[in-house]
Amino acid sequence: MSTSSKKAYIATRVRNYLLAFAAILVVNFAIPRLMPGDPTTRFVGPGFTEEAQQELLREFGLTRPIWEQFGLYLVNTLTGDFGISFSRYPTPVMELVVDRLPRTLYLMGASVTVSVLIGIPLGAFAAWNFSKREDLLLTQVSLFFRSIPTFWLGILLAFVFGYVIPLFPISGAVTAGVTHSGPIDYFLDLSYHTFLPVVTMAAYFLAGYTFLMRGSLLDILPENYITIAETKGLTDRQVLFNHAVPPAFPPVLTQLGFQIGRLAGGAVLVETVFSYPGMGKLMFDAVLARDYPTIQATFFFLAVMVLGAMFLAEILYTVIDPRIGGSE
Amino acid sequence: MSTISEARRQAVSRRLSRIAAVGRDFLTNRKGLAGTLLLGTIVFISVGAPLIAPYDPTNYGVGGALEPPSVAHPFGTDDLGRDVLSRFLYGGRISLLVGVVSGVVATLVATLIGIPAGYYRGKIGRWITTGIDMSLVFPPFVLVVVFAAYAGSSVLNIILILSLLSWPIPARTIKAKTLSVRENDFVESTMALGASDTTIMKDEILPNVLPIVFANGILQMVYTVLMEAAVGFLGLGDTSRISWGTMLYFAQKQAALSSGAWWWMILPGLGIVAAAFGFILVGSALDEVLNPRLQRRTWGGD
Repeated sequence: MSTSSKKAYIATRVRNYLLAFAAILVVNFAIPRLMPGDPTTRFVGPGFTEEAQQELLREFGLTRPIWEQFGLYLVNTLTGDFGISFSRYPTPVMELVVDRLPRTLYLMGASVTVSVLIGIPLGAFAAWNFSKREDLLLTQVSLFFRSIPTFWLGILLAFVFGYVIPLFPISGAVTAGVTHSGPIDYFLDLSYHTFLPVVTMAAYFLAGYTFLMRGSLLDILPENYITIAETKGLTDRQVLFNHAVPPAFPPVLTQLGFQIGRLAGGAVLVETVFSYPGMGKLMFDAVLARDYPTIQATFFFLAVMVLGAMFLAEILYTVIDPRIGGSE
Repeated sequence: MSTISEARRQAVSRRLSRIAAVGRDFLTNRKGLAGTLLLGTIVFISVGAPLIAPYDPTNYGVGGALEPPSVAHPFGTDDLGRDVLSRFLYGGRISLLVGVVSGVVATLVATLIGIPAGYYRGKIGRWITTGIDMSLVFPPFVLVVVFAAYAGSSVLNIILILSLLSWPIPARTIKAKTLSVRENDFVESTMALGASDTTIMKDEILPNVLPIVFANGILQMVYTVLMEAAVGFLGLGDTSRISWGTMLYFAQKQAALSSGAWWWMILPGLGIVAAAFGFILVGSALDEVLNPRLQRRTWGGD
């Protein structure tokens, strides 16, 4: 495939990601204004001082025509100004986000890593034993795991490993009131606290990756070059690892990109169950408190995180798969 | 006069025998049978709840507060002394209703968008596809939470929100299938005969895409059932009605587990698992039966 068609392919994809970013900006602008109720109540909290109220009305242009509001909104959003939190007045929303965002990134990253590292080999193992007892068992078990509500699994794990056998902490990100001697110490404490949340979130996705990898390999195994590799006298193991597994990755990666959206939803639930101070918990608390500026900001950042992760998955995919760039 | 009606009669009987064959394959498929039994049981207890339930599910004080399982209350009581089993039996109604209705609506939307996306070449097709891709970017559950926060939490609202947010993934699948069906000679020849785009999509594409639509629709219900439960668990559902999700919300709010009242949380959770598992089994069995190519892949280590 030629370099120019690869360039054209990448250009289309980049255009689509820019469009998607624009769509997030528009939706985030529209939601608080289109929903029933007085939009100004979405920006000015009941407990605000008269001065703060006037300041916010001016800053977000809430009394001005919709196009001016949109212009101001764009400027504010792109400069990181999301207004003032209703429930944590007078903290700016952006300060809360900066504090929480890395924790959620860590939770999602760790869950994806764990589920990929375990799920992909399991999927390959299932495909390898296609239609045998191991495959049937693994398939049924993954289907079953896909049916367990994440939050309920979290509650059960917290009950068993945090309450009945108190092995792990069931809330928070680090031990309260402890000063850490260094980054390693901090990381160990964080991993200890996030053990159960990560297991909870990974369980659902692990089952998904097992399935995806199995399906992807089963699509590849009947191909001619696999048969050729077999007739060359390579062992089954060599065929699997050298010829079948590498081309099975790209489709799994694409699907992984789509699943990231579910990961953000999972973060809201898991962080709520384990009182983990991340973006998901911030959003949930904001919803309960009807803290609209915070809801708007958390939605924006979760959506952008998902978009960024999809973009990363796609870059990896383009790098790995030599076939990309041909017909769409 | 008789040739046309004869041909039509034959077509109908072919279709009927095809449906009968699919039904036979489905019920002899272990997953299909297990899933049907599971869902059948849930429908049975939900419909028959008034007859089966030992107590009035809303009646306070039919037992003491947080009583552990006993003969009188096989699954204990909640913090207000209501019978957990009776509430469980009634709770499946909302979960099933919301899951099934929003699964159906989402699949209809996905079909109406997915078929034109795959059928039209050139600009129209590309724009619809871009639209689908844009919608895939929004994390569905996060949007559900945001909408529930603004729009309020009636059962109808939750159904609307779930339907309107879960169509993009099935739309992609349906689009892909449409692309491959469109390559067939019979589509080309209908086009050559001058049939309109709408007619071709309705008469030639839809019947061939339908098996995928059907299997996808059932699998869609797995997500809508799970999302309904999650919305309920977060307390964003209609808390005045009994559903498995809201039962878990109240249990969590009253710290059921740290007061040791595990029985309050087990049954509703199992109900959700059973419903979702039932839909997964039925959906993947349908997929195997209707799209048999999946079964023919054979390869193994030996």
